[in-house]
Amino acid sequence: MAVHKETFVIGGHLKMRRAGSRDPFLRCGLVSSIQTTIETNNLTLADTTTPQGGEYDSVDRITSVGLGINFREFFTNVLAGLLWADISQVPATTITGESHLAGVDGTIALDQMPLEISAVANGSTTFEEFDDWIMTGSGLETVPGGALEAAIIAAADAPYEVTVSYSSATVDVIEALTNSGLELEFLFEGANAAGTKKRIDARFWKCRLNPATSQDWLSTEDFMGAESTCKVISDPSKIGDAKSKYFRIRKELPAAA
Amino acid sequence: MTSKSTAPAAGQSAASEKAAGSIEVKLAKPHTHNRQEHAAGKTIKVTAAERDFLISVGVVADPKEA
Repeated sequence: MAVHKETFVIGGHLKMRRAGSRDPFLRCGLVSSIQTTIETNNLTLADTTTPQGGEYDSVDRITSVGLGINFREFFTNVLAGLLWADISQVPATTITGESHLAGVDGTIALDQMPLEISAVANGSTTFEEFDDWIMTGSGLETVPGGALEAAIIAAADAPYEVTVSYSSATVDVIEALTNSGLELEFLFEGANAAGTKKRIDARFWKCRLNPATSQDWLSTEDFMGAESTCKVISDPSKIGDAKSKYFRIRKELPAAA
Repeated sequence: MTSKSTAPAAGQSAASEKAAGSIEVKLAKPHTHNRQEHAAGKTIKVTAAERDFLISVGVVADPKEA
């Protein structure tokens, strides 16, 4: 009889959707690690029937079920879950006559994320790109020695306004901490490189990501990551004998010989 | 370098100059002007530079009329 091994080296995809919904699961992108944690509280009844003591009875009660996930890709829905955020999409558009206060050595942040700035003007005076101003990621800055800087300096303490015409990019807007956390269902679709070399999947019915997560926005050593903890909450809709209210694992079996 | 040498007086508000925009253009696409969103089909008043920009990005319905 062949030796049957059940060792595991798993790779796979983590996906999520709103808990209780029938929506398709959306990908979470690459995650470096997924860990389940189950915490228990031990109740012990001291044995007082003998002078030596001991434990008369003991029981462990579940106090929490959790997931630890190290996210390495940040799709908008992932950021929304991590940051308890509401999200919206702003389509690309064109904008004229957007007025801003200009300053030397400062960035004028435009209302929308610019794709291309066509004109910066003050009344009938227009300023030239590269000579007078340059576009930055979210707006524009004055060029030292340029006409815009000179005009701002000439204005002295008086505010110097410019109007900007530009086309903007399509963006997702993520407003952090605007809700108390979405309840999400996670699906892990994995495959085992060892043992049976078959598939394995896990469903975590009702989860809430903890926003107390550090994200390395700037790092010279590694790609950006966010190690997040997640509470797996009991899902009361999962009823029936031997049905888990927390999570379920399915592992594919080898074909019968 | 500025394209025109008539620099405004110090502190002059650009908003007042915007109001001087007197060229009417009919929008072919939604557009934001003076922080107000305008739907396609609406006619707005813009400056010559703004009109040129709107024509270049295809926002003006009929560039010949603008």
